[in-house]
Amino acid sequence: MKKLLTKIYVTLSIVLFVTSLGAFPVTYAANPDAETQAMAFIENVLPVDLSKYNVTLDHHSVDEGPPIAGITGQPINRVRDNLRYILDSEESTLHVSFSVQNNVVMYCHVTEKNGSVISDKKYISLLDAVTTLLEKYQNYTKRDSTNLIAMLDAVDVTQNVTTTVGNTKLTISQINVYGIEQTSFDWAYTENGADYTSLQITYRNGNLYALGDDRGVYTIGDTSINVSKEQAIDIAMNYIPNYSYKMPNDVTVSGFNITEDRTTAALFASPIDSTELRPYWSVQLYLNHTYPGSVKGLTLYIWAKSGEVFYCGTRATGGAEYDDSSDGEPMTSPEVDSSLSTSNPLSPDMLFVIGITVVAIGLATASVVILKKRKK
Amino acid sequence: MNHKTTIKTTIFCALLLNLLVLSTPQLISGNIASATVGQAVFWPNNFQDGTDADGELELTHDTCMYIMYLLIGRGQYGCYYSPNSTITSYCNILSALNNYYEDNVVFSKGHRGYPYWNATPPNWNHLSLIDHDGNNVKDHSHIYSRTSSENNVTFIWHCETAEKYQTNTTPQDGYGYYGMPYCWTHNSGLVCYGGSGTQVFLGWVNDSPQFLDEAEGMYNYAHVAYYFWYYMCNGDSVEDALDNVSYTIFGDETYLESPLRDWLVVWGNKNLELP
Repeated sequence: MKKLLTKIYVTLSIVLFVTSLGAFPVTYAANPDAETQAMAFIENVLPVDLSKYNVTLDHHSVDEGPPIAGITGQPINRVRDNLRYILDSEESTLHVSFSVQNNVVMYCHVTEKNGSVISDKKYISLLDAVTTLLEKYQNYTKRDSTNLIAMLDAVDVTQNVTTTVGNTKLTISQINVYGIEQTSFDWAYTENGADYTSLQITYRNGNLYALGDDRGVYTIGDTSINVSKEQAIDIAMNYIPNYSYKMPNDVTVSGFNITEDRTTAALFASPIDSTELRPYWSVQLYLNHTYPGSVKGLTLYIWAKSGEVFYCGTRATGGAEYDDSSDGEPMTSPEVDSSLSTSNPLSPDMLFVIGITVVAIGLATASVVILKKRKK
Repeated sequence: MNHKTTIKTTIFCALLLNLLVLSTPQLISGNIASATVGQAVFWPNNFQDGTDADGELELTHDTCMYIMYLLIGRGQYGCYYSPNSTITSYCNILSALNNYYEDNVVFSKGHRGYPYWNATPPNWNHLSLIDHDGNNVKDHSHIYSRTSSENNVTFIWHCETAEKYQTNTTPQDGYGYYGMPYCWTHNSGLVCYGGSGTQVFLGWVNDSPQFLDEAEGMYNYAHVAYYFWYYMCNGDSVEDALDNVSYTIFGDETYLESPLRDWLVVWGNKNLELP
């Protein structure tokens, strides 16, 4: 009997312990080196007068990759420390957020919460500001940025610009919306029409707003492109007759008709199942009508070196369709009485978990009663 | 039973009771009377055969669960979780949020309908969220009458939910108020990507992407939804969360440079954090 009770207790404890985990946020060990890197960035790169600010660490969490698999079905494995510092002064409050991966600051984001930024010096122009920032960033990263700085000398930073020198493509974008004036600089390593790693710097209303640099996180793999855009589209078109997807009740959808003149293909080098960047074609096919599952198109990813299709998926939308020229019934069912029941709605999931709890309570109570009886 | 066994039994029972206390609210997804922030996740996807592919249903289930966990993981508040949401569950949960909580956070993912498309004359002002059974959760009746200016952060991931709204105009016709931004917030002063106020509404212009749709690289739109809430639950403002999502998913430093701009639209105060 004692053994039986022990088993019951152990089982119940495990079940209840597991279900109680949701009471606490799951946190992973924060990497103290990430804080060192972020602070070094604040002290050596951030163009603010630190003598006027109190700097405190407000938040540090670790993102071990999303719980949702990537499009190829593989988990997205990476560890990224997310930190937020508050820079507080009498005149302004700033939130400075960081993403640190591989012990490298990958992304820094500055938000003015109150007042205006107290700058470390008076910059005479945006060109002066970004050049000075690049010089400081070069010292901080120990990564030679002289070619990036030199490219700025040849352009008007107040205009939209795209220029390439060697394997470096500089794109300057001006955005003026919602009362925000934003200038973004993007230096990308480019080869054969594909952009790989990049350093991006964004100024908003004259102040540094964001800096992103994935050069220390991703490596550049084989950049060979043996498949042209036209060949990639042909590969996609040849692949489609063998592609299908499942609907509920084991219904399979296949046999797609493509509106060929709408087909597009673009070259990307985003990380796929790896931190090594390799070029691939993203081919977008448009279907000639909406297929089951609200599917209006298909997307294929094709390695630009080998021509292998490594992803094919649907593109669907979240709107019910209506044919206003038809006299037929709408796609939706007839209206039901919307009057409410007074009871709380309980989904099957909720009923399930409540059921477990009730059983657990029952077993615990029964165990105590049995023990008491044995005592007597 | 000797004294030692009695002590062990008491410890076991105390442990079990402790765990029960901790686990039960999590299991039933909240509704804790003392909380001042109400949170809810709806996903009425499977409304009729042919609407969603198998993979979409599975991914939506998983993603909405994770979003619920993120919201619960904030540690202070429960979260209503409504899979296969019906009109009744929308109405009951929205009423509960409105009646028992001071601030509300809502996420809903599914399809959009036009409840009066077949009326005479047809009406294209009003939108609905199609519930699990294919019925219209109408903007002016089911939603407006059970929401208030206490709906602080609302993200409606259905088609066209950012439309039918113009700042400083109260959208109304013979049926009543229309459009999701107004009907969820009761606020006609929401500015697009604004910087003040106590409310923010996120919705889509034109078609909303399904979660399975690829976004960029390894990421699909389920990751966009997940990371938006991940960053919000880590204390970001809407603007910061969208910027972080843009860099994480699309490699673009800011939302304004990303494909989301002008598609996933922010009405109201982009500086708001979760209450």
